[in-house]
Amino acid sequence: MYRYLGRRLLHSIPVVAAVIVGAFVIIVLVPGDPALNMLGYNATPESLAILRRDLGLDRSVPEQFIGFLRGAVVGDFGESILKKEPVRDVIASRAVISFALLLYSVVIAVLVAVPLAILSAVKKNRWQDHLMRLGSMVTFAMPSFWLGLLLALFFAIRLGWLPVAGYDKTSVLTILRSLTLPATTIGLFLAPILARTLRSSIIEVLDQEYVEAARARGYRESRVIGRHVMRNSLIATVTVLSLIIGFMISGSVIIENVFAIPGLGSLIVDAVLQRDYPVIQALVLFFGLTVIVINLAADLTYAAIDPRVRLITR
Amino acid sequence: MRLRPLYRMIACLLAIGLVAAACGTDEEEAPETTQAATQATTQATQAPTTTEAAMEGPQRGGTLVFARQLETNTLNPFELSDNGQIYAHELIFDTLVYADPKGGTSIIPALAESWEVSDDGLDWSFTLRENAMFSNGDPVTSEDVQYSLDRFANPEINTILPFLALGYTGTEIIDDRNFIIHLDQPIAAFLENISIFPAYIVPKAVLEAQGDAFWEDPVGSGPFKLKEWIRGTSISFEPNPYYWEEGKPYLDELRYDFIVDDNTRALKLDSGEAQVMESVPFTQIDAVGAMDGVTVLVREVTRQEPVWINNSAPPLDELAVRQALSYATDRDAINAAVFGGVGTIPNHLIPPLKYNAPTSEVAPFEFNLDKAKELMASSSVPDGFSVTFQFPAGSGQHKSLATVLQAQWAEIGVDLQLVELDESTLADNLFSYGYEITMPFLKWTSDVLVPDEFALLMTDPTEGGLDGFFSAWGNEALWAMVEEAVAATEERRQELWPQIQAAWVADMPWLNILWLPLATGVRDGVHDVDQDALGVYHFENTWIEQ
Repeated sequence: MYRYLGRRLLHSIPVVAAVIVGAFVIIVLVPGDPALNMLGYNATPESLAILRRDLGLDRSVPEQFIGFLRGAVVGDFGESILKKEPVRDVIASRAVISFALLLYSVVIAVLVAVPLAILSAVKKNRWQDHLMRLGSMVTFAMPSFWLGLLLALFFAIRLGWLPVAGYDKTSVLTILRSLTLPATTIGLFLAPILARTLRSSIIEVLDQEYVEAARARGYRESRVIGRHVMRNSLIATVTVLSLIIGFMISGSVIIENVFAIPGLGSLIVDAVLQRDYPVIQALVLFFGLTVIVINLAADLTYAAIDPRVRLITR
Repeated sequence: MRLRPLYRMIACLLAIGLVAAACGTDEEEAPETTQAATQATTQATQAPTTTEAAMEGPQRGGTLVFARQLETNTLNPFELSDNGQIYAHELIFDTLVYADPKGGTSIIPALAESWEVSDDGLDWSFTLRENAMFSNGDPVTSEDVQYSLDRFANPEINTILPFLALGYTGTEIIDDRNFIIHLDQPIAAFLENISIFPAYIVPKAVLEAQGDAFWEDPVGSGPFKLKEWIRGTSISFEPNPYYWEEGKPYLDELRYDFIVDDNTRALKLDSGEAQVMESVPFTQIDAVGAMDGVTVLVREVTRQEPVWINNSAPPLDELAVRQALSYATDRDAINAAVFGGVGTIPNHLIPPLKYNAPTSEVAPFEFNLDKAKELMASSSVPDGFSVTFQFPAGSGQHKSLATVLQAQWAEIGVDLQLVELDESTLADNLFSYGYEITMPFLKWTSDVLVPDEFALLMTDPTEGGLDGFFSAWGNEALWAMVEEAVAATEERRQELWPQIQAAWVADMPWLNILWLPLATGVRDGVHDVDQDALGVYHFENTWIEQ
């Protein structure tokens, strides 16, 4: 297992290097003068010089890269132009919220998708299966911000159970209340993808001989599904989940905006629109590294679920 | 009982939600707003209910939640200048004079109780209020004023609006409450210039002692002081016990919740989680106004929807072509189709400001297709031409406007190539003349009540000027009048500004599509949510029925 982990970490090194270079190159490739872009028409030569110095733009490109690399190693990306705080603090405070939202969404998605996928696979081509497939298509096709607003209309305005929007971090309960509607919205977007992937895998596994053998031994259907079918159906689902999570980290911007959740998604939009380069660079690096870590975690999960994965890669 | 508004909102979402990008908003705010000086009116989509409590007068207490579109990122007024910052700074800090919080063109006393100007217009003598105090209990002194105005006039510190300190040479301290501000030339708009945010009076001793840390929890002399700031989520304020207006403010707490999405802000108002909603989109005014217990206040402000033209890009360098574009613009149709009919057809190229000739004297821009065709026929491109038109990405309102203009201008043979770009790129292109026709800003407003700022910024053809604000246009004769007007007496200004307006419009360096208002949603039971002539909200008079 350690050799497998070591090999996977080794494979990640060139990807990490590419992400670091990519994050740095952004500011080099920006047309025109980034300092002038930030300060606008009121910029005086003095204020431009100060900002160029603060951004390190008065140094040569190799010097800038070494400075960026040093900063990346210790997590020092300077101060956000827009937020007027150290970039590290801005990202750290928002990353916690985004990851909590993502985790909550995945839990909801799994809670919805797994039972539906099992039911749909077991009742293949019967009305339960057709209903699940139709329902998942409708939910998936619905724009997420619109679905979010509909949920807010019903659960916040009509029933008054949850807040419309905002992030109240007074207690764990208020955080859960604040995140429930956005997490449900994201969860309902993820659930159809997971349910359909899992359904196909389950159907495939259900046809395997070892499942028949388990049944022939007289095991209850719940044990057959739970122990024999699910474990062997999960690999494709974990792959899809890891890809989606990587996408959702930066793709949650719409939901974060709709529900006024101060996470990374809304931060990157603000940073891009306002040309907050230190934040953009740090976020590109952060997202890249996070996706790498998630994919690594997915690889390790394969190995944990199916020992054959480890054997094959030897 | 709640079903009808619920269904209305669902219908509204169905109608507009799908076409609006969730992260793009049509009422996004740009730096500094001011209110229409000459046309300040307030209308409501439904008449506010006058309750018994309202008849009895202001009541003390309560927390008001204001659903705001833009986030507050800094409490240092010299760092950022959008309304996300200004509306928060305005609560904490005060200026010597300010625009009447109830609207209109008057500049009224704030920290200064009185002032007089010398005959030559170079020396302004002020007296501070006896009870002018900062929120830490220290009195506001002439030394604080001198320190603050010196910062205001220092372009290294005031990088936001340094030109507003035009003419300032220094402040002479007479005693703790009396001082004289010296100018090197008469500045007619001097009071207007020192009435807005870069000219806040700050406590010298505290700021010098604390340095940059001061701005994390600043001490000011405004009606409120900072209570709690949860970055990215909300900022709340509590009353300044030393505020000079006795008995005010009435609220126990005022909280700004930052909610970018228009629909979500509307739902916050509908649910009662917020009592005031900023920037009701024009297309949703009816839907929001139809919510139970909600009134929408539509206030005319000094805001315009301009279309920039690069006067150095043929054939746009021809006056006849620019005039043809204006005549071919059916502003009534645009107002109805894009702005819900709340706009006003302008008669000037800048926002509605004091000294503008009223529309009763100078007619609004005319839609006349025959005249437009005639002008095109007289130009070098009688059969029309193709031209790019840049506009902000993610703004449904601007996309609609661009599409309508594309259709309208096709009538005179103009083939408009629409180019959607992010706001920063649009600004870059404007500043580098990388455009032919563009709408570079989501919102464009004046910082002061008078036309001086816009005229100085946009008509200076000399080296060091902004070249017609990057439109590659200049008019020496017009500039001479502007130079005279900014230093002239009130009587002379009243003569000059309409002449400047006529000369400016005659050149048609860019187009002004409409003058636009601001819309605010307010729940019943909330009174006196004031907005001054700068469009800035004031809450010192606001109270909630208990």
